[in-house]
Amino acid sequence: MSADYVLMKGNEAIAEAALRAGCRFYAGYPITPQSEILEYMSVNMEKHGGTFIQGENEIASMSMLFGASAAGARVMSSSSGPGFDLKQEEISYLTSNNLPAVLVNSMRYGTGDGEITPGQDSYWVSTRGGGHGDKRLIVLAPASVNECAELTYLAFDLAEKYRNVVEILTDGAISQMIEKCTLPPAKEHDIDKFDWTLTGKPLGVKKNKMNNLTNIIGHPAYSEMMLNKFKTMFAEEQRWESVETEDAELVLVAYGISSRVCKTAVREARRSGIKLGLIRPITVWPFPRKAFEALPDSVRGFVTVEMSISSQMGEDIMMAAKNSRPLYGCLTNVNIPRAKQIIDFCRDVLSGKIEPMEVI
Amino acid sequence: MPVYKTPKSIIAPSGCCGGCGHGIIQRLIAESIEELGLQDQVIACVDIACSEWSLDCLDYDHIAGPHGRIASVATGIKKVRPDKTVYALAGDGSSYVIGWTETTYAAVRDIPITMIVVNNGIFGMTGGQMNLATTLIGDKTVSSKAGRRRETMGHPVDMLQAIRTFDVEFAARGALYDTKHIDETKRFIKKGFENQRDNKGFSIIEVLSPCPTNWKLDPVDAMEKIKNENEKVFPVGVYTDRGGNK
Amino acid sequence: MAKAKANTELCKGCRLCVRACPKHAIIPLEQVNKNGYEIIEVDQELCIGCGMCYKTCPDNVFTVE
Repeated sequence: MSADYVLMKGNEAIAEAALRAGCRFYAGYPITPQSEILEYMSVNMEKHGGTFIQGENEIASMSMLFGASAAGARVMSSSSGPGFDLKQEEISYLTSNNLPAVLVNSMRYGTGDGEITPGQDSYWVSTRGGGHGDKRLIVLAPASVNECAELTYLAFDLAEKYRNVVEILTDGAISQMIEKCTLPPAKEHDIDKFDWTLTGKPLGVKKNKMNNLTNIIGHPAYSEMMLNKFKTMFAEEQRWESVETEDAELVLVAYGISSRVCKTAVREARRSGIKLGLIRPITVWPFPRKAFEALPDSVRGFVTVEMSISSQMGEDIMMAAKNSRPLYGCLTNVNIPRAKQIIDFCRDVLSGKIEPMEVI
Repeated sequence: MPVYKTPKSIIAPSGCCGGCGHGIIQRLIAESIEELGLQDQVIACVDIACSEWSLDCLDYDHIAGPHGRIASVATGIKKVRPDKTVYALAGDGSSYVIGWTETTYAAVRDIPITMIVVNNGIFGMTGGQMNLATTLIGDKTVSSKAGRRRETMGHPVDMLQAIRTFDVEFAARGALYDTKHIDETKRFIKKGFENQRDNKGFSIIEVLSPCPTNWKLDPVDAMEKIKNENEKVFPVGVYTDRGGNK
Repeated sequence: MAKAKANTELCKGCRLCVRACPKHAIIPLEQVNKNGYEIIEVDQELCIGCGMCYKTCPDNVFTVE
C-alpha cells in the first residue's frame, strides 16, 4: 500500500473518511447497497474508541444518533432506498434541535422495494425530504471513490458549521466501485468543544434543554434563524464542476455515476464535432445555480442525464437556467447511461428529432 | 424526625394537571438522584407528551426525543458520555406501544441507563385515547367509548413480564396510590440509579400513575381506581433483580 | 416538633393530601389561589409532621421541618 493512495470501495472510503474526521458514533441497519459502511464501522469504530451499534431498525438507529449528537459526538448513519425513508422522522427532529449529523444515502433504483442495483431516483427524498416541517439538508454527491472520502470528511465540518444535517448522496455504483483513493489525515473531535451540548452539569449552572427550538426560543426567532441559515447555506455552499461549457452547444447536467459517463460522452462527442459540455453538481442542495450564470450564447439547451423515470433534477435545472433554454431528458431509469446513448441522444436533440421535456 | 423538603433539583412548578402522578414521579427521581449525590452529572431524556413537563421543572440537562424513541436517545447519550447519569422518562404509549421495539433493544443491549415508565393506561397529552398495552378491559376512553373490548381491541399486557426474560439488571413496578407504595416506588427508582452509578445494566421502573383529567375521575377516585383495578392487572413488585437485594 | 407548612400558591386542589393525612389535619378550603385552584390549610394543632402530605403531593406544596 502506498502512503499516497489506497484501493478502496466507495462505501469503505466513506466509512474510513468518517473515522478520520473524528466520527465516533455510528448506528445503522443493513440494506444493500450501503451495507459495507455498516460492516466497516463494525470492524473499525471500536479501534478508535467510538461506538458502533447495529440498530434494531432505522428509526431507533437515528434516535441513538440524535442522542449522541446532542451529547457532542460526531455522528453518522447510512442507508438506501426504503431504509432511508425511515430516517426522515429523526432528520426532522435533528433539524428542529439544530443538531449536526452526517447521513449517507446510497441510492438503489426503484420505488417500493425496487431493485438493489444503482439508481438516482432518491434525489427528491434527499433534496426535498427530511420529514415534516421546513428544512434544508446540504447534500453532497460524490462521483468517485476519492470524492466519497473527500466529501465525507468535509460533511462533518459543514454539519458542525451550520448545526445541520449533511447528506452524502451516492449510488450503488459509486458505493460499490473500487478505485484509488487518497485518504484525508486523521483528526480527533473534542465532544466538549461546544456550549450547546448535553454534558450533565452541576445544579445551578445553566442547563441545555433540547426540545423543539420553537419551544425554547419562540416562533419568530426560530423562523428568522432558520431562514438565515438556509439562505447562508444556499449562497455559500454551492459546489460544482463545469466541463467544456465555454463553447458548448448542449450542456449535460448530471451528478454521481451518470456524471462520470457524461464526461466520457463530452470527450467522445467533441471528437466527432458535437460540442457538448457538462455541469456536474457536487452539491445537489444547494443546487449550483451559479454554474448556470454566464453560460455562452452558443448553448442551445440542457440535457439532464439521470437514472430516473420522470426526471427529478429537471426542475432544479429549469430554476437555475431561469427557463432560458429548453431542457431535454436523457433518462435511463434502471440502467446506468452509456456514453454512446448520450451522444446519440444529443445528436437527435441538435437535429430537432427530440422535443424538449416538460418538467412535471 | 425526618425532614421533608422539596429537592434542590426541582426549580419550577410542573405544568401537569391537578392530581397527576407525573409530579410525584419527578420528585422521586430528584430525591433519588440527590440522595445518591448524582445531581451534578445528570442528563435527562424525556419523551414527547406529559413526560416533557419535567423539562422546565428539573435542573438537569434535558432532551426531548421523537415519540417512542427515548430509550434509543438515552442509549446514544450514554454511549458518548458513559460517566454521566442518564435517565429516560416516558409514558406507557411511548415505551410499550410505538416504542416497544426501542425499549426492548435498550433492554436487550443491557444499556446501563435508568428508564422510568409512567403507566397511566392512556394517551394523556393527546386527550385520553386508549393505550393498547395498558388500558384495562372495559375502561372507557375517547377512542374506546363503550369500553375496551378484548375481541376487537386486544387486551392489556404486562410488559415487565417480557422484559424480565431479557436478562436486564432490574425491572420493577411501583404505584402511587398511597404513601406506602410511593415509598416503595422511590426505593425502586433509587435502585435504578444505584445500578447505573455502579455501572450495572439496564434498569426499568414502571409506575402505576393516575391521569384524573382523562380518566374523568377526581384525583382521589383516580388513586382508588389504581388500587382496586389497575394493580390487579399490573401487580407491583420486583420482576427481576440480577444483582439481588443488598 | 416538626410541622407541615404549605405553600398553597403551588396547590392544584387535588386533595390527595387530605386523603393521605392520618390525622385529618389538612382542611380543604373553597378559597382559591392566584391560579384559581381551591387550596388547603394545615391544622397545626393536629399535625404530627409525619410527611404523608409531602409524599403524596404532586406539586411540592409541603415542607416539613
